[in-house]
Amino acid sequence: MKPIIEVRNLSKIYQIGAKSERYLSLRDRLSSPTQWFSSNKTEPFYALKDVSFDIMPGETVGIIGRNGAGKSTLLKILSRITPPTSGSIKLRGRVASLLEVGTGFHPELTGRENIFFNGAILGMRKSEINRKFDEIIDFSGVEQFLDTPLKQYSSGMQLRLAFAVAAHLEPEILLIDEVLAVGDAEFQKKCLGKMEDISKGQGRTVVVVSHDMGMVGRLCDVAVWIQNGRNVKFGKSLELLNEYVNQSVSNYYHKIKDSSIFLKYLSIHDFYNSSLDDYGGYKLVVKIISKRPQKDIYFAFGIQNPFNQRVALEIVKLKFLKSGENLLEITFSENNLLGGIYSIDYSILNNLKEVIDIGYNILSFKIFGPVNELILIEGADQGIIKLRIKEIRCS
Amino acid sequence: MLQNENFETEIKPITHFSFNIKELWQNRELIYFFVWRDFKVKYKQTIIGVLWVFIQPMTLLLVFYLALSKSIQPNLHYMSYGYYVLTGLIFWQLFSTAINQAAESMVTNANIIKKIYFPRLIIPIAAIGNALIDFSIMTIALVIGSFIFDNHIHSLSFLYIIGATILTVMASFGIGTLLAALNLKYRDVRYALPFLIQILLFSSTVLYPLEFQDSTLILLKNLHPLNGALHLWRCAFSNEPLNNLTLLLGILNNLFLFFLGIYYFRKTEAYFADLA
Repeated sequence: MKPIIEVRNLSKIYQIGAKSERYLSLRDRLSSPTQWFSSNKTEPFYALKDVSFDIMPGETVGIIGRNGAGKSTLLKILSRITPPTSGSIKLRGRVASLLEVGTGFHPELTGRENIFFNGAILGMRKSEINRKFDEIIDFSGVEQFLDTPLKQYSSGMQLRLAFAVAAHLEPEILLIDEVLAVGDAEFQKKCLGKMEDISKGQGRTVVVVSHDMGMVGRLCDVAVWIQNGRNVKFGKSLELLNEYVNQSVSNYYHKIKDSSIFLKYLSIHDFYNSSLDDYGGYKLVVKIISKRPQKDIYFAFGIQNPFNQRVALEIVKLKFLKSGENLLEITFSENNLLGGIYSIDYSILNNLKEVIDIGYNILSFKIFGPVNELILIEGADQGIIKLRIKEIRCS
Repeated sequence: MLQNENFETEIKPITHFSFNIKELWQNRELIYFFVWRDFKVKYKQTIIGVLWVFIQPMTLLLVFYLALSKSIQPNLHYMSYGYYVLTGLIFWQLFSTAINQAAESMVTNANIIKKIYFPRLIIPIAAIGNALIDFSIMTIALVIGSFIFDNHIHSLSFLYIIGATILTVMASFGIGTLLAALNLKYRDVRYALPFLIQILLFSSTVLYPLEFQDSTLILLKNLHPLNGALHLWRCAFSNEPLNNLTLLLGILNNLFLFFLGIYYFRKTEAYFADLA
């Protein structure tokens, strides 16, 4: 089987310097006579350099990387919005890209009219939109307001309508850029479900750019990790995510090294080897560096689920920190998290008000525990935690 | 697994130039949707709606008729001054709105250009399409009026009307796409545009016949992008004989503008998303 997306030695150069202005006016040119004849005196900046990878049909791929690493540029080239400077991409299938939800929505048009225009812009034929019209309305849940101008919609309703249209695209390749960053948790969840259905259920190829580690972990089989415009790694998404977040931690403490207390290391034992099964306990291992002995320090950590909901927040009081490295181990006797990907935030406080060190999403881990099968009833909300029922009596 | 070998596309740096008619044809429905959207949006929240199409030329007609009728009438051999200005202004309306809307179209749709790919030419094409809708409404009214008041509609009129329309669409499309592409890069275009449109109006034969003796000025008159088509257009509504030189120069000139505009647009369109 041939790869559905073949990226070969892709580079994109932006000229920075004089030309980095978003747009020029003649006045800018005229007012700096030194540049009249030297408009090429700019510096090339590689947004992407020699990036290559293959994606097989049916794969769901997450593109991860820091801000400015080149993720969005890659997605823009893939969706043909901007051309590469060198290299090539082969796409074997129809492509639809969602770089934004509701592209082309017009406030003066009614909901119905916007569905048609937005659908057409995303690449649907008129007959196709007609055919799916009822489904789209159903999914969006804005039936009553179909003939109301969009400007009178709440932003949530607009988003729902936009996503409803997008969810009914039927391309072989779907490109998505962090579109789920907005909207309420409930709707995000619905969208994630729909996206899983698109990728896993219908066998379409999905490429997602996201900062939401939980989403990448849950949705994607493989990931491309881009750093400074070079693709650093390509591999199984969980392995890459693990590495990515660990690297985030190591990058992180450089910034606060002049602080008196900071986190050096944090891990969960030992989630990667999947010993963190459904019923077993697990251990959070934390190393905190203190420059001098300290009393009454608080270590707080929170766990988020894939929908960025805080599942739990615990605060541990540390009576005494010695100068140098302090090892803190927090053991949980049993797991009541549902299967899925979670991420950890932490903070170190010297009383319950003043934060000394703080980090978000510094580690993500996966709970392999099977979700109670009964809960997998279609459409059922799984909730946030799994209750541990000790006894059930039925008489 | 879904795979579709029929849709293999290759994304490469742009090295050669093409008009890419095939892709435009594949996206013809999108053109329709853009025209449809702009038409719908245009008269939302107005009381008299489409009637606005008539108000502008009628007001101008009144002003110029009152001001210039006496002095210009003696120079007109084939129609009354009122009729001359009326036909001129209706035709001018097509030309000027087409240029105006096409030139602004890329900037107004910048948010779409930055987020989604489709052949960029669709946007100015749709802008022209909208100008054509207004123009058709007025032309139908004009033709009906001309029949009723017996103003020399003849057997070739329809041919002339269609020919003149095509010529003007080509010219305004060429100028419009050129300005649209420039507008994305240099926003100066936005400020120069109203000025340019005014110059085009007053140097044309829309409001008065330009009877020059000087041969350079006669050439300039014939090189005006509107004058050739306008001459053909007026011949449709009178017994004025066709001036072959004027028409030929008009055709050449409009064809040149048409291809120049598309050429520049296509050449720069790859970077629209970076500039918008």
